[in-house]
Amino acid sequence: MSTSVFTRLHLRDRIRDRDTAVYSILLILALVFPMASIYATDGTALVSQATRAGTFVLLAIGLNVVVGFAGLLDLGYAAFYAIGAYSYALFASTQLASSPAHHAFHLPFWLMLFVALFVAAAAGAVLGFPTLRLRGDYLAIVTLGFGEIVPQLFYNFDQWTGGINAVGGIDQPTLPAWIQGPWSGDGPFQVVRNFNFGGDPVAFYVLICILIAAAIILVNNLYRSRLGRAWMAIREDEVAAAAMGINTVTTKLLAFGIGASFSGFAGAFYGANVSLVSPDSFLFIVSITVLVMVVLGGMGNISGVIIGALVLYYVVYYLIPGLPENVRSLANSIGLSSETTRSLADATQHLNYIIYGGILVAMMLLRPQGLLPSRVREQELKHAAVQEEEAAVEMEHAT
Amino acid sequence: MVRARGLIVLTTATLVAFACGGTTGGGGGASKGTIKIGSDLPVCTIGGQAVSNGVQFAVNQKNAAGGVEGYTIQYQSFDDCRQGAYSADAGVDNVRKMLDDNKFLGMVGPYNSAVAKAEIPIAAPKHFVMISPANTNPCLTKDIAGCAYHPQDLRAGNANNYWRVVTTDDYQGPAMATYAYKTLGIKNIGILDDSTVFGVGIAGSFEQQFKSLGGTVAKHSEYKKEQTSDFKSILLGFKNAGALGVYVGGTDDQNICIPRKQMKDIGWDAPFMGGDGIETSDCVDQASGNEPNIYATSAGADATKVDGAKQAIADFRKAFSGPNDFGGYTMQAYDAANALMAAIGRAVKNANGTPSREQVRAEMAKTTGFKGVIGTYDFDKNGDTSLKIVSIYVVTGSLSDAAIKDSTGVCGSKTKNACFVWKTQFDFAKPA
Amino acid sequence: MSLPDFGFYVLCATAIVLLAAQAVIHPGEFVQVFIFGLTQGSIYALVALGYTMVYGIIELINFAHGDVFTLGAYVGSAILGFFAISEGGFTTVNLIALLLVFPAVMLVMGGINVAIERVAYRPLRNAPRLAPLITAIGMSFFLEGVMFLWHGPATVHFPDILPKAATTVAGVFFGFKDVFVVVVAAILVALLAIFINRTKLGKAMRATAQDRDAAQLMGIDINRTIAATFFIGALLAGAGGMIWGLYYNTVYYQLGFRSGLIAFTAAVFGGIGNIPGAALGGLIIGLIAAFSDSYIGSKWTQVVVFGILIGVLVFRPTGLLGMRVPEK
Repeated sequence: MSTSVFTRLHLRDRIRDRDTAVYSILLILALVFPMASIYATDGTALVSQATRAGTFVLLAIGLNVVVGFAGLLDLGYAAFYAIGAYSYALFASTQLASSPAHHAFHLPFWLMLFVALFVAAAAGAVLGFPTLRLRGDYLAIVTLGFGEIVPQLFYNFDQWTGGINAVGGIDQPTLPAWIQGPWSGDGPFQVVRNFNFGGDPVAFYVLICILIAAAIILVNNLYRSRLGRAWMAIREDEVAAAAMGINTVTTKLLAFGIGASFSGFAGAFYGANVSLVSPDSFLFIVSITVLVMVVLGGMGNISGVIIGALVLYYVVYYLIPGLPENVRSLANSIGLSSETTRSLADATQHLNYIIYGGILVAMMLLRPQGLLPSRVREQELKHAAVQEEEAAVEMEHAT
Repeated sequence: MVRARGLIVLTTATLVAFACGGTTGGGGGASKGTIKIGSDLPVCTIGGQAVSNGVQFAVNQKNAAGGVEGYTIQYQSFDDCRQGAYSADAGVDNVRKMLDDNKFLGMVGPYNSAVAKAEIPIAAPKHFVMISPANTNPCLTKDIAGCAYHPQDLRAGNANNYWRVVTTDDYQGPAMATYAYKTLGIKNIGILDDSTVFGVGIAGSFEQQFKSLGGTVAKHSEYKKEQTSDFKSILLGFKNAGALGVYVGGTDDQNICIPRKQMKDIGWDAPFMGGDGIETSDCVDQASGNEPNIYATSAGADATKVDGAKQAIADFRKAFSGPNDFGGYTMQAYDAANALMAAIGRAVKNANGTPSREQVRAEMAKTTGFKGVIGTYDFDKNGDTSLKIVSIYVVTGSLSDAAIKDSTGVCGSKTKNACFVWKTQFDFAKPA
Repeated sequence: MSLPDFGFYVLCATAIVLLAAQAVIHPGEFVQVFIFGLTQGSIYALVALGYTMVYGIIELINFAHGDVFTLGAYVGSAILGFFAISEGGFTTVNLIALLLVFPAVMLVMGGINVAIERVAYRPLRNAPRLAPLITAIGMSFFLEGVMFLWHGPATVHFPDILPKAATTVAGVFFGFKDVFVVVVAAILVALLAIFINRTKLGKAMRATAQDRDAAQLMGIDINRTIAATFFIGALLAGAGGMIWGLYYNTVYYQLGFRSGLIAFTAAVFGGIGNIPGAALGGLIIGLIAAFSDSYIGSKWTQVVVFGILIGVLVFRPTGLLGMRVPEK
């Protein structure tokens, strides 16, 4: 008995240690990355890429609450992302001027960030309320259906949303005047760089880092709270959890709503960053990509999910699209003829899907529990296995 | 610990690849140095690759003739395909990559209007010249009713950085509407669009003109490639509403010509019309078994009907001999690349050295009377070309070998004797 | 009658009344659209069976299944290319080619699917539940990649070798092809039902689906049974791919992802794990899509199909024919 308590304590420490290490590394990377990449490439393309990756990190953290903590499979997460993005886009652009409302709204980004959060959470609750009593994968199908319907609705109501023409020219966030004082900008007292979101990818980068940090702190606290434990209980055994007095519907609804709210957050940010919101940006493939990020990183473990999101973003948006070009320059540099180079690059281009599919399968086969699995879950599983074995041994002894 | 080491190896490999990815491209040795031009095209599609070939051909010719004012032009083709179809996101990423390399002074492209719409706002503040050989959505340059945005908003108040060498859907659609109503005598039509920016735009301009001529639109339906494979219910709806023909707004990569085949499956024999998105071999293939009487417009003059282009086409065919290497917009891309290089040349002269993007943009804006192979281009202040010719083609089946060789229109890759044959052209620059 | 059941019946009754009204007003159009829906639905049904069998036995949403279906059409088109078939009319060669190629494609796809199971799913049998889901997505991309590499992004022509006979009866146009699709699909579903209910392997499958551990204790070779399930699912998917090709004559590499999603929806609709349910679900989804295209408008079809799906699941959480399983 005493040994088990000891290992438990020890385990806790180890989890803290590992997470602290991962977070510190991430923090340092986040600080160094913009300077290093701007210095190395003499441009901000990599910083913009990192910002886009950050949006996915935010999404993955949110989906992790639903899938990793509460164990609800959500195949339509992009729907909430779309709702968040559109709620900012419609109220911070000239779009509604040409709609039946005949009035353009230009609400501030900082307000809309939270409005989008609540709108997405409300959408999650509305969807979740009648359907959360569905068990297991039936719920997954409902979310899948929801994910299919929402972008189509944004497309169909083109009077309001512009349909396929998308909402463009979305307002950029501005900082209040007291922050943009004489110490910023190009004036003689310049201390900080002009913190202008309009043309500066670094500003968005800083913002997404702050948002991610806030999300991590929030989710970590949730996870350690009573609610977090309730989620875990439901994930492991819903019937037993209900028997222990957990209100399963409310708990699941909260997971759904909180998960959705993060994507609302991410959606509003995406709208401001890309300045263009089109129904085609929120298709099923986005939901799938975020889900893969969560599972790949290690469900239920926030730091793992972040790593998963970054790794997969890098693979999908950087490594694979860049492969033909890399092959081309490699072939060039080793002196192959331009004809061979071209056909090699073409071949790589045609292999894109195979490579991506292969990476997914290989990664899952090598690490079925994810890159950085949740230690608690891992240990629980091991613990259960050991107990079973012990029980079997005891049985043998008894007979 | 094996696992952990595997992870480290993976991470290291990732970092290394990242570092490599950041610094692609190398320089070629030339007298004064190199200037890069890019293109952003969906090269995973046949149409996009054919356009890229046109640019490559123009650059190769120019470099063989000594480059631009002593500079060697280096051409890099960026691909805006993501998972097999064009993507505005991918296009934006590509433009960002070009903007971050100061050697890039301009680009040819994009191919799809939706991509252009996403790219212009990023390129405009940096005065980065974009010349599209194939964008036909009018909203990109014209402030007209029915657009969801204004061109000046797209450029965020900056000077215009976007030109195109083809004319717009507001000419393509009406040209076909006039042709259908007056020449083919069709007074009632069903319209189907593929829910893309291009498809919706061109179908809208067709509908407007067709109605103003006095025609009736039986029904206007839309579909999405990934959702619809069976068009028979939609087509039956058209037929039952009294339509005597079908106009489609869309492109072959959205399977726009599959309905043509299925018209036969419901026993409906009527003309099938569309814009430049269906003047492709893929379209003829999709219509397999029911190819004849597909009418298509092309937003430019037929290169073979222009005397000046014959030589260029013959030279191109020698350099790029594949069956799909030449497409409907290859020569337009060739002209676009040459117009860009001409502007760069003038800017080099003025700057007496490597010019800035702003200088190239200013020179491009001054372009007048540029002699391309298709015609002589003037550009208005919005970036639209003065050449406003729309050609009309129709698929004719069972052509003789000689006729196939002469025709400029593409043929099916399966049914090789069914090709687009030039019918007539509308010149909107001259008042009718 | 509980409240959800009541809601469900109200929903069904409304739909039937609306359709009946259409049938009375425009009987010709109604029957015509019904035929369109039936043919499309038959193909969905064949694909849905594969989903439902695999889900029933290992609780995996096999995202790669739709791509197996598409690959079937690609393979069929390639093998048919070896024959001197005529696309102009129906010749003896066409008949022979069809009789040889159809089962060949089914077997090839069965083999491929068993290989996929062996590589991508079996090693993960005891892994966390979502791990095989991700490999399924990976396999889906992989198969799409194979097809992309093979023929590129453009549509691929599938030889048009069926008789082109067509006729109009009372204003309704239909051809040999329409009959062919429905009849072949019906035969295959019937064969499957017999197989599942009458053979020993079928019994083993049902047992494994119900309780894997108990089945194992009864001496059933679990791995073999699961492999057989994948094999049979892919036989049907391959047949579906062939039928699709023969009927529509065009395929493209991404066809399966979406059709697979629809077919999976059909499987859930009918009650997942339930074989007649999947066949029924496929037919119903095909009909809903056709009626929606024609009566509501094609841009609403997606919303209608998934809206009805959500509605049905809200009122009837286990699908149309799904049984209420007691909670553990």
